[in-house]
Amino acid sequence: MRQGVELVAEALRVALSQPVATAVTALIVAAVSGVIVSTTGQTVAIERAVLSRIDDAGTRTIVVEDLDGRAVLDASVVERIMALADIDWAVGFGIATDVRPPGLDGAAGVPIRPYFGALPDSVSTSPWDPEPGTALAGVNAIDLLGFETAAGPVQTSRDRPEIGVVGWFDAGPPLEFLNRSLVTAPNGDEAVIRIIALANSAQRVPYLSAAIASVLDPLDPGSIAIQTSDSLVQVRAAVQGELGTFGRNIVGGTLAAGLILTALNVFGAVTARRRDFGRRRALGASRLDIVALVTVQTVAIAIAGAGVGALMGTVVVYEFVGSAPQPDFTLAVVTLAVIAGAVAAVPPALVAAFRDPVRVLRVP
Amino acid sequence: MVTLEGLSFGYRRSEPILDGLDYAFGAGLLSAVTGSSGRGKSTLLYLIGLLLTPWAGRVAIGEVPDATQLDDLDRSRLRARRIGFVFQDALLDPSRTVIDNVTEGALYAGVPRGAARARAERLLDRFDVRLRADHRPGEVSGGQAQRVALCRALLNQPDVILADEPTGNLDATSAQVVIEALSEAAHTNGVTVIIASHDARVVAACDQVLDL
Repeated sequence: MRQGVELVAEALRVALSQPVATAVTALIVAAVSGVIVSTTGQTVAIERAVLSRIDDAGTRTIVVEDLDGRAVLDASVVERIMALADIDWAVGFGIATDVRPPGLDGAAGVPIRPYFGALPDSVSTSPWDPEPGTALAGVNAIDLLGFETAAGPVQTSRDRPEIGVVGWFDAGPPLEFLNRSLVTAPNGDEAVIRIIALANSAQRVPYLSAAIASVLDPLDPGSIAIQTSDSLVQVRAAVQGELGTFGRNIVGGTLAAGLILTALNVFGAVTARRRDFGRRRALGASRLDIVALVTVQTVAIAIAGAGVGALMGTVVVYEFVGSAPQPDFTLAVVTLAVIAGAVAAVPPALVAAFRDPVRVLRVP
Repeated sequence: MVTLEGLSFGYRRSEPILDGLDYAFGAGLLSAVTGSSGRGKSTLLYLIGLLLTPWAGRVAIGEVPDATQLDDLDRSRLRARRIGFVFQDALLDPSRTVIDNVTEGALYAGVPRGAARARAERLLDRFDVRLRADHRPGEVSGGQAQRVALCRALLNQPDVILADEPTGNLDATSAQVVIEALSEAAHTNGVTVIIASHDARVVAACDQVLDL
């Protein structure tokens, strides 16, 4: 252990005593790391943004509909869907009917739907205890009802009991269509006619569609339609594949170029140090010591170079894309650049280790 | 004690330089290897120092009966711990200070840095170059550089010192200092000192002479 630490210290000392070779190696590795982070980093950031946009468009959404009401789904189906692995959330809705404030029979109606299960986190609401006979108004429905605040009575028709609007909700994707309506707690006898579920990844959607179909238990299976965004899922996979291939090509090409340049530079450095290695061999360095010395020296320089390059690449990405690459991506690039440096050092290290020391030690 | 038995070697198969050489260099003795150029004086030192492998024969160093049979790692460790080299041009690392040059071999012998530094200071003191400890090799004279090289060779307390024309680049006064230092290492420390040299002053100072 102590000898290992002293070998590392010796490698660092040698690196500092050869400022030109050290600077060139550090520059090469910094360039490799910087180019990868700034190009592939941008690709990754763009890929992330595009995929996020596609996902926002609903690639993870699964919609189950009872098209003509003959499936007769009850509230328990929402619980069964929620229990499936890889489902983020599921919420069911009953038949929508129009409501108006009492005494405004001629006014345009605003739909009200009973919902089943829990509203997901993407729907923010005012405090509410969902009791039958109460409802929440969507943020756009408040104006449609002619209310100044989210409070007041509504009814479906003059002879039906009033429903009290007791608060508001604001739904995000993919439930934003609810914002022009009201939701109410079910009174126990309504059927579920529409279920919206969100998978935790777009890749799981095909599997989950089948799984959901298996837990529906409809009275008439012919009335059930399950909709997913297959085409969007395919676009998503294509974008991910194309950009991934592009990024991998850049990484591979840059690493290969960096590896060759580093190997040539280290080879030049060890050639210039022939007498140094001859002296070390005479002092008792084994071939393994020489290989370790050259490799550790190169790795130490590569760590510094890769760190600086990654930092500069991150700045470039931030300037062009507006967000920094994820830390694990940057760390992976630094690790790859350092590994490339280590691999590049081995052939010149072997040349140095196996060179005949007597040839350089003899004075003609 | 270094014993050679049937030692044969050449750089080309058709031109053997050493052919079945038998010899024993005594412990605590100053030994000279002489002969005209090309007779294999330096080559013999490199064979004893395990930097070359003989065609035939063996090199016994202390209780190691045939050091030539060891693998590279064991040869290197043996060289680091038991053998010290002194070269004609001192061969110091110009990027290190004098004291760091002296302690360089400690890394390969497994001597802790602190202990190596303490030993180096004592050696520099003994060979009268302590005041130059923090200088670079370019800032010391040839004689001082050669004494620094001798300190480096002695650092790991070797059994054998191999000196290849150690006075070749020195004036008479400096050469005398180096000869005395090598003699002291042999006679005071019991080290087997083997010097390859043309220099008649060196040969005259030695206890035994191998003429190739």
